[in-house]
Amino acid sequence: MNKLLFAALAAVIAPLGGPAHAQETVDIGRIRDGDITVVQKLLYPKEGRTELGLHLGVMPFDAYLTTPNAQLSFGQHFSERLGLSVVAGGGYGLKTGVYRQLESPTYGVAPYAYRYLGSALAGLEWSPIYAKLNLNGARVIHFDVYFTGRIGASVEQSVIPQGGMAFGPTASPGLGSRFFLGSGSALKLELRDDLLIERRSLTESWEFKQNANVVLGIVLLSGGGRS
Amino acid sequence: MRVRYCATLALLTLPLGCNRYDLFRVAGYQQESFSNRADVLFVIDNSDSMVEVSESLAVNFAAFIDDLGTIEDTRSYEDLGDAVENYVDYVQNRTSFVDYQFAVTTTDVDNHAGKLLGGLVRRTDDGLADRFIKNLTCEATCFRDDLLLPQDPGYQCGDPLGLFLSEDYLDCVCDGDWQGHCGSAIEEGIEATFLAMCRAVPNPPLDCFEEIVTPEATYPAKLTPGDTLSNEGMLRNNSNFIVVVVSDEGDGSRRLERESVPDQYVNLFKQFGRRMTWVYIGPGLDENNQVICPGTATDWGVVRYNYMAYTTGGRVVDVFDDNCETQDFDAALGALGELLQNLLTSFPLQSVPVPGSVIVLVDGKGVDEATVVDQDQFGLDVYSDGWSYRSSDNSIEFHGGAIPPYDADVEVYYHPIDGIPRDLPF
Repeated sequence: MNKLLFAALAAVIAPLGGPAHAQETVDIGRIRDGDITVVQKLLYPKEGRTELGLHLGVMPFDAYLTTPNAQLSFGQHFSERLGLSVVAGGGYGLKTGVYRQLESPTYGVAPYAYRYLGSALAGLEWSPIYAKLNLNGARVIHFDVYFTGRIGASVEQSVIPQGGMAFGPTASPGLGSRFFLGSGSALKLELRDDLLIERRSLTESWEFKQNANVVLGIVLLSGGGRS
Repeated sequence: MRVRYCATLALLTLPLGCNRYDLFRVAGYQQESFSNRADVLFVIDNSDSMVEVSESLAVNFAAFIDDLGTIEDTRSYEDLGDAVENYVDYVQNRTSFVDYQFAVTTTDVDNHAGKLLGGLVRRTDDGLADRFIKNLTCEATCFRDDLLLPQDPGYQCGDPLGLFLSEDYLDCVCDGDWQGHCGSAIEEGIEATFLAMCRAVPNPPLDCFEEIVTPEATYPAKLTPGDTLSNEGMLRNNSNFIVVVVSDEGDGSRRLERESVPDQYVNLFKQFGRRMTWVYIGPGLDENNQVICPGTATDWGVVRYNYMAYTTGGRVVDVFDDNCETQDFDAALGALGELLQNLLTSFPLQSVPVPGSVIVLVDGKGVDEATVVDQDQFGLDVYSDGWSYRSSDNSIEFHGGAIPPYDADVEVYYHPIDGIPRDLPF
């Protein structure tokens, strides 16, 4: 690393210097493309480490319900790229302004919406990207990007009172990133989409539903990890 | 690799917010939001066998009026204390806030044809009870010329009615004109009510002025268009119309065949678009629909009145006690007082609901759907406490202890069978 930096500096400074002296020439060799990578060495490796996290989220994409929620996560990293991921959480869907407007006497309509109450999911996390980012020329942030696929179950409740509960099998693809705060902690941002099928009692129908969830939280990683 | 990332990203983001929800109708009501007006029509049998019954009604009427509570106009609204007191009274004694009025006609269609006798008696009238008793005894009660009434030499004109009707009282109240007024031997309480309503509205149904043709006879029309509004004021806008038939006989209304339920009249009454409730104070029936106390009342005639009371959520009170003597009218008027509280039992829906999709809440709490537990003597379903859907008028009907109390908020959610029109704000 220092060798590369030195070579680069030398290349920049050399034209500014005085007359060249043949006896002062230093052979730094040839820099090949294969010698240049973004991160020469992982500062915060995950392999073999366990991860525990607490997250706050919101499901903002439903026209009738906005759902603040909290999630607990557990992760076990088998390798730098692959790990086990378990997430469990709960929340409560609140009526949006559109819903309230609809159910007002003006329209007299109530969408038979189901609100998220909780879920438990488990699956795999694949982290193909580790990168660092120079922020404002001052601080270098290390982060990874991961894809996740989890399965589990969700519990939901009808917004219409007495309208029933639903327990739905759930598949949850997701995309996220860990921004390492140090060797033992990271800020974790994730967008996941819980896809579930649920039985709605009043209409006696099976319905597909998705709960797109934006989650931000803190994770703690076991072990030292810094290399 | 790059293609795989893009495909995954598209899979994640494209379907966001695509949830599909069925739209339910939500209908909100408030038990107190309906009119507190009650228009009460007494349909009195003025045949000569009714003297004792009319006397009992008259004697008990003043106490009945007292029981209804303070007249709202006398209330004080000076300060917060008055407001709290009034509110407590409102909750505990709702009848004191009911704006009722009384009218009297007879079951004699040939002579009175539903015409009100003595005019309307309104709650705010001075001497309300006395005025009603005057109408009842001076105009709608048959006192045969040979009938001897007790004397009450100590009675002073202007004194209230005591425990019995005396000649002295009637001479004062009726200015000496109280004998006679005996009506037809055929009591037609249901027809008389129909004609009274015809006289009370500005645009009566055509049936009011048409002759009646039955297999047995043809009856000329009793009313002409000139009789329109001859009972003006009897039916007020948005009022609840309570018919109280007082008779020791059954109904013999001319449009009906002898042993039939009065469905035909139910359809006639519907043309007025009024909420009607019937009270029948008359001979009781046993479980076989036979008159308990021997007399001239026909079983089928009494069944007709019972039918009207049952189908309108009204009351039936036996005019006779266990010994087949005319009983005290206290209980009968108490039943009427309950009806004056005007609790709504049915709430109309805008659309026809999908079966099984109805949710009913009273003050935010779910109410169970009622189940049919029996059938009454007319073959009509008897329900347990709860609600039921009534297809005849597309409404939710409450039963028994599930009837919403005053101030209750009633919400009905249902999935309309014909969907929701797309006039929504999106």
